[in-house]
Amino acid sequence: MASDSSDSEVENTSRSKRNLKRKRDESSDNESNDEDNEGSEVNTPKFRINPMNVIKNKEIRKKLYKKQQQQKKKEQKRARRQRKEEGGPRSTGHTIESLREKDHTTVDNLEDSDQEELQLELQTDEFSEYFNREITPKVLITYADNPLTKTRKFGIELARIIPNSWAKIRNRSSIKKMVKSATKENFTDVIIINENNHEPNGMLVIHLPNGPTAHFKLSNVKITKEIKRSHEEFTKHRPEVILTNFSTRLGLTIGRMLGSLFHHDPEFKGRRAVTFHNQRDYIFFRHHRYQFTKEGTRAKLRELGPRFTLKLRSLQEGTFDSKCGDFDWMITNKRHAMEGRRRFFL
Amino acid sequence: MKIKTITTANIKNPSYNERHRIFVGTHTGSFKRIDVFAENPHAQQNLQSISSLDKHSRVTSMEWGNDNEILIGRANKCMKIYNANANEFSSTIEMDDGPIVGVCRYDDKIIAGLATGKVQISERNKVFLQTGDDLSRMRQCKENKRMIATGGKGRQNNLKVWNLETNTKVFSSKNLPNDYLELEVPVWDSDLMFFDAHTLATCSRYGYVRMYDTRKQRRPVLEYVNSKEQIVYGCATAHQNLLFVGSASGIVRAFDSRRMKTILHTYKGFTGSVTDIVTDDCGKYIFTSCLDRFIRVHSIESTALQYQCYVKSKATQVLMQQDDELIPEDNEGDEEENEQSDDDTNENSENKSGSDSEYDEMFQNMQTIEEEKQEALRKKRKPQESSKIKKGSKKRK
Repeated sequence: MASDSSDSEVENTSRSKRNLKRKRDESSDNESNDEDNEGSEVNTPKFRINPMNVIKNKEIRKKLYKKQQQQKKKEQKRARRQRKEEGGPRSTGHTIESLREKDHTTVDNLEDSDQEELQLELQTDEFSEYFNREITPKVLITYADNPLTKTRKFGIELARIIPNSWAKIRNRSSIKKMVKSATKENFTDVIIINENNHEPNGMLVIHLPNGPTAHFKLSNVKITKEIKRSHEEFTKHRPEVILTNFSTRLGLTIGRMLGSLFHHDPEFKGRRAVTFHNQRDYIFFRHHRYQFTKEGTRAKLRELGPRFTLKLRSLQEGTFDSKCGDFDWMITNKRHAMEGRRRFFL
Repeated sequence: MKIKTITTANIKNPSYNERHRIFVGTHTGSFKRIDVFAENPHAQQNLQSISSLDKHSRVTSMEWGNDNEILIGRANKCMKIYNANANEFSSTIEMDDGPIVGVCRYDDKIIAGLATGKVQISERNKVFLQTGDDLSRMRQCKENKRMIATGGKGRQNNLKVWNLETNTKVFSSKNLPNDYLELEVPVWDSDLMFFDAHTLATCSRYGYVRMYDTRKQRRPVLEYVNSKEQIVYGCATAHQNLLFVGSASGIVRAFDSRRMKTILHTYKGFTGSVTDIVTDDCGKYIFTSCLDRFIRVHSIESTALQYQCYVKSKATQVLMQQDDELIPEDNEGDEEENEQSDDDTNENSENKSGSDSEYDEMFQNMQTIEEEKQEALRKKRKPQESSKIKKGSKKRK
């Protein structure tokens, strides 16, 4: 409850400040009533003034304030220790995630009786063929025009991770044309990596043949060399895919989309795992090799790289058509600014 | 009361207590009814069993037919007729092609616009109108039910008006003149709307909204286009002089159909493409379906969000009905109002006062609002109107 008390403390100080201000106003209005007012306020527990606030010398005030804070912290520490000894519950504290605004579209349990419609949609949507194991994914990875080394290497590494995928130079072809020819060649997905300021900064994932298209902001790209690893550590085995924390309806679609880039049967012999972890709408990608300890209770991990972070910008119905297409969901900066920090979409 | 517009919760403004019933057609093909006035305003009833749906049963068009029947066109050739009075499906009709992008009823004929460019008139022997090769929308005129309009992508599919009695083309629009490079201006009439039997509006995925007058000229008489913004208009609806268009980027705009220069209102709260808009009969609320799986109700004047409901799958079509169990005369009265001139509104209120004493006050309130609005409009429009009258009188001479 440490955070609780600190919260209340902040509140107290702010309240007292407010009071002080009010008091000043009053004093300017009618000085004669000043003392009476103060007395009443001190008496009532609601409007208690921190007596330190009235001290006029800044140096002394600061010193005293610091002392007070230290005292408080000490008390908190003592209380915590006491709680621990007594075996009381540990406070989890507040994080921006635990305070998350409730999303009405959250999918808790797919097998619920009222999720009949959702189940139908999942059975008939664009990824249903993959999840019914009717098609095996075949992925084309390409770049913006004239990619620099880092972007190109990043694409090649992605191609090493995603089974049955090819990284190709785009050769100034338009996306719509690529989509057409890739569909003809039985590709199931096209990934396009955009680059700006010598850094990969955008990722477009197009599911073929009928969409949808997701546009991600791509950040914090570390290719294997940058985290001091080598692609030689990669094996040719198909990796396992771990998707965590995609809770809303939109998140479910995105999770299915990212999952369907990989082959449905992982080769466990390779002990490779690819993780898409969603946290506060940022999707973190990590690539590991794991090894179970002898007891079999824990797994040791070794990161193989690359690592990067995705953030969804828009989800479009159909294949890429940025001008005339329909959007299932999109974010504009304007709208983002209006929303609270505690609202997440995935 | 101010409601937080951007949220995923099911919300309803407590001051919004109209007796509205909403029908929703969705991307998965389900067809739902929501009673906004019910105890649980967000309870949805699936009117068709979900298990019978497949990949291609997306609802692509939904329209009112004769006396409270709903015509539902789907992507898979199939068309269903739902009787809202009896709460059951009365019949299923197989069309020649799909998706069905517009449905309507004229007498006992059922007409379906097919995306391939044909308009099928289903009688015993089928008749086809060839409108082009890529149809986006077909709509019927509410005033003159034998008129339908079609529009689609490309020059050959631009706005056309057809007469269903003679099965002939009455009007076909003409594109704008070529641009300064002598290049053709691209056309895509993604949705269209009749104001009355002669005036139509179209909106486009290329970002323009145009008004046509079939009596005056083949080219549009008014146009709104903002070359600085990239916007895709997908759906439209009209009420009296207001034209509402919904965009793929999640904005609904209202225009004054007599003066298309500025945007009257903007409605917000959407996070996906708006797929369909309807208004209620008295022009107080708009109902929108959106690809972000929400149905929303905004009040037209204040643009405030009144109601929002999560419908589980992507909503593609929406229809509304005034629940008239308690207010049987409401619909008729409003239609009369539309036709009659401003001065006759007092008579209407007198007619209504006979019905139920409890609702007297409510109706009178409604009336005053209407009057104020109309007065305000009259004040605004005065100079224009007078000029028009002068023109007309000259012509007569």
